Amino acid sequence: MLNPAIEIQILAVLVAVSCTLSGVFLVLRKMAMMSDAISHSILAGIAIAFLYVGDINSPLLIIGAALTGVVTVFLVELLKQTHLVSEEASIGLVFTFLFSVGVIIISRYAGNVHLDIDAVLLGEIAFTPFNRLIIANIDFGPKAIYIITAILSLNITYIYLFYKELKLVTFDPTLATMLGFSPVIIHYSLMGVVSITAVGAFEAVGFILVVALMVVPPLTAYLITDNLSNMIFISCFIGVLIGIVGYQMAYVFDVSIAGSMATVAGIIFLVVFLVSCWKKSSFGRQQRNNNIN
Amino acid sequence: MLWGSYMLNDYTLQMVLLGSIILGITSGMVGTFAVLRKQSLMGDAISHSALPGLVIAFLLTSQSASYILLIGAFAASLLSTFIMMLIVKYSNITYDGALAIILSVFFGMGMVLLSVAQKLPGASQAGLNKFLFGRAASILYADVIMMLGLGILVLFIIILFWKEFKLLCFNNDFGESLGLPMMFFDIILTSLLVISIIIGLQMVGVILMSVMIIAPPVAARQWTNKLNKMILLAGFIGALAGVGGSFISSIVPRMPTGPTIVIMNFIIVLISLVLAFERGLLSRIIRRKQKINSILAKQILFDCYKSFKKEEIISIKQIMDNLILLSAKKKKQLRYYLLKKGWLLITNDKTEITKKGLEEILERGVLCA
Amino acid sequence: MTEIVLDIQKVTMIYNEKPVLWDLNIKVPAGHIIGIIGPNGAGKSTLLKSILGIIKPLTGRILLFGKNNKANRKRVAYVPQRRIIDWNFPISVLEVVMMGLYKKIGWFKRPNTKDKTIAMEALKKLGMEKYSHRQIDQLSGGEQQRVFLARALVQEADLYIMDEPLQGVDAVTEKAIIALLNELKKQGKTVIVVHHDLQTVTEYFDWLILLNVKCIVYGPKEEVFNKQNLKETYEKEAIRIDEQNGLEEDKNKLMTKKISVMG
Repeated sequence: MLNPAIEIQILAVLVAVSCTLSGVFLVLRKMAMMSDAISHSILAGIAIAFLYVGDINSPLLIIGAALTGVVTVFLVELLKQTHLVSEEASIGLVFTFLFSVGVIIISRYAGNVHLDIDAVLLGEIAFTPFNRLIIANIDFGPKAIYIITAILSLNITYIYLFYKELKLVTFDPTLATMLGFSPVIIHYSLMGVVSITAVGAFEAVGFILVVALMVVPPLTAYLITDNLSNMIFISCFIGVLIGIVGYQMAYVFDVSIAGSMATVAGIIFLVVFLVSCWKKSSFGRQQRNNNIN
Repeated sequence: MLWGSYMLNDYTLQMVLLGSIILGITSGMVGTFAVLRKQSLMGDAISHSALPGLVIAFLLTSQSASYILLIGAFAASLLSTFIMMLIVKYSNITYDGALAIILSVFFGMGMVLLSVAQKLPGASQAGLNKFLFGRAASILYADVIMMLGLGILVLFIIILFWKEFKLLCFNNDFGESLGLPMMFFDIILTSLLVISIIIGLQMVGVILMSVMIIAPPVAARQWTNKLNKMILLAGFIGALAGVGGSFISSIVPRMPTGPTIVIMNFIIVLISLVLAFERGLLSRIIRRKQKINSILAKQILFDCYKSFKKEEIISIKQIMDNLILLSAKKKKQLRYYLLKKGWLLITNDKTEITKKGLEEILERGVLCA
Repeated sequence: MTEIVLDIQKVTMIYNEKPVLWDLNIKVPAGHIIGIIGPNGAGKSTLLKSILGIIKPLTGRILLFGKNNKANRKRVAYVPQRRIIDWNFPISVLEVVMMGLYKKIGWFKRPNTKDKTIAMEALKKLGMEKYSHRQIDQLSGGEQQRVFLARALVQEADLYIMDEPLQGVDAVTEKAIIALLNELKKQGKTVIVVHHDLQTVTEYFDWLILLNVKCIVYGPKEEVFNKQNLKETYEKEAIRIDEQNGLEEDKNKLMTKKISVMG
């Protein structure tokens, strides 16, 4: 097998791009915080699936966790429909509830299995407790990389197949309904893909980085371009950049890999943000100068 | 009973109960403003952004005393809200996107710093972990006193700026037109939010802190329309959930305090949503049914009136068919309703409007509430 | 005998436990440009939504081209209000127009060159062909509206439904839109427009629907557009039976009738 460092590097890049692809349409649908909600609720799904299966290595956990993502979205919609709770509040209520359920289940029933809560929550790409592949050794490589590659392919296939449907449903859901494309199907299928991606990535990099990777590259690309395909490609490019630079920096300074990637994402965003602000103001100044002349 | 009093004597439980009451009241009250301003998830972002501040404070001072870490957390959170506002103001990115960016990036930076701190010799993890995941059980008297102090400060400021905060929530533009420095009050209110969250981090941890800000106000909202009542009720509910949760988690083995409080909160919210008097789902469903019946009945009455004016004979069956009402059950319901109200005289082949029905239509119209 | 493209039968709609549409009975024949006018809250948008089948009425039904809603939906094209759209969405003018062809293209497949040509032709009709690759966040209000109209055109519908298309557009666009509507009319299509500006109503439309929760009146503008009807639409509180003074008379009538029945 390859050098462990390279394996992790590849994994980092794969995870980054998968999350980014999932995140693009999430962000365009103004549902950025849903990534946070889903990645937290997944804990409940994993806990319940674990209760049922009793084996923390079972692939059923991934399915259970992915389902929870969809359930989360469904519950949020349900709360919203009452018209008594705002969308934001609904999201906040549902995911913390599910997360609490997850923590309680783990504390009560999985107490004998040593689950390092810290690692579960913060994640560490070189430390995936559920798969018991504790250190970045040889056995770490194959399984996780294959899983992530599968997820990446899922994302690419999904976006390729449903490209125009996603565009349509996000831009004008009424027209979509009238033309016979069900916004509901697209909505939930997207959430399903996002959930599966979140589960796969979460094992490697933990909650928060999943959010960072899903949200920051697309929003950065959003500042750069106003063309959808460009936005997708630029996001992926940024994702790769984050994966490489983030990991290398973590390697060099010996700090948390996930944290380092999130920080790099933030720095890239900051730079792009400042540049776009400067461009806007100088463009504005240019306009004014032109008008005066 | 004996068992209960034994429990109450337990030092830890006492501290936890006190802490959760203070936390519940403070976050419930401050959260009311946040929820009304549609900033519910701000709490989540603020909690997560606190991490780098905590760690930097620790690294700079090499102490894990609560109040020092708190100051760091406060600074970081405040900075993050400021950046968030900048992002929304100077780009096309919407509020939800900015929240997610700040939340994840700040927390990520915190994780980097954490991994640095963990390598330092003699670094005590207890202080930091307490904030991350909430170890209510290790709340000390000193912590409670600090929470109390901050809580009172928060309360004091709310009372002091009550009118201005109310304006900020409901009628920001009006306040600006009066020349009031609404930005200043916005910052104060956000700072209060940050303080409340920092208070709660020890007890319930980063992730669960958001619910303390969101749930009590949401529940309270269902019971009242008035801000002052809502805020008091939210504080009460927050405390109630806090006490209930702490109690249950102390009785049931291996129930972590934080999540239990969250579940209590959620249960109260659900109950409120369903059962509250006016807004509650149950009462809404009942009212809606009644309203639909009354409107359909009015429409039938109206049609009768029209045929009465044209001096035509019409049967009830014809009318209901014209309206394309579907189920037989519905039709039966309506017949009964109309007869009860005395508006129509219904026989098998014809239907006549009565004087009462006439009066109903002409004097009260069709749209009476 | 002209086809009735839209047949609204005894439609009542409620929202938040109050009626927003009451006992509507409207038959719209083909080949006209029809304006729906009425005060705010009169239920105009609700009416459009129920015609499109997005919401179901409490009573009554709506027939499109003589049949129930869903069957004939594809013969209807909808132009929404501009303000509900996210104009920061990263797509180009051409992409928006091509959305109108998605039904024809079907799930999964990609648009081909023929589709692009159709879209470009529609843009040309609205004078927007030079903008085809421009991103929509760079358009003015009038240009946005024209893009939406092009999108409706490619659907090759028989009934066009538009929600305030002339709101906030420049004079050039307004002229272009009205020209397009007239051309559609010439082709025998029907256009139903929710309109906001009473000044231009008689100029742009040949039939009118006056709506204030209930349908005050509808028909050719010459018959319908008069002071009395307008007063009733805009000034009266919706749904009071207007013959207040008829109360006594009717009561008497009822009395005498009863007597005759009993007697």
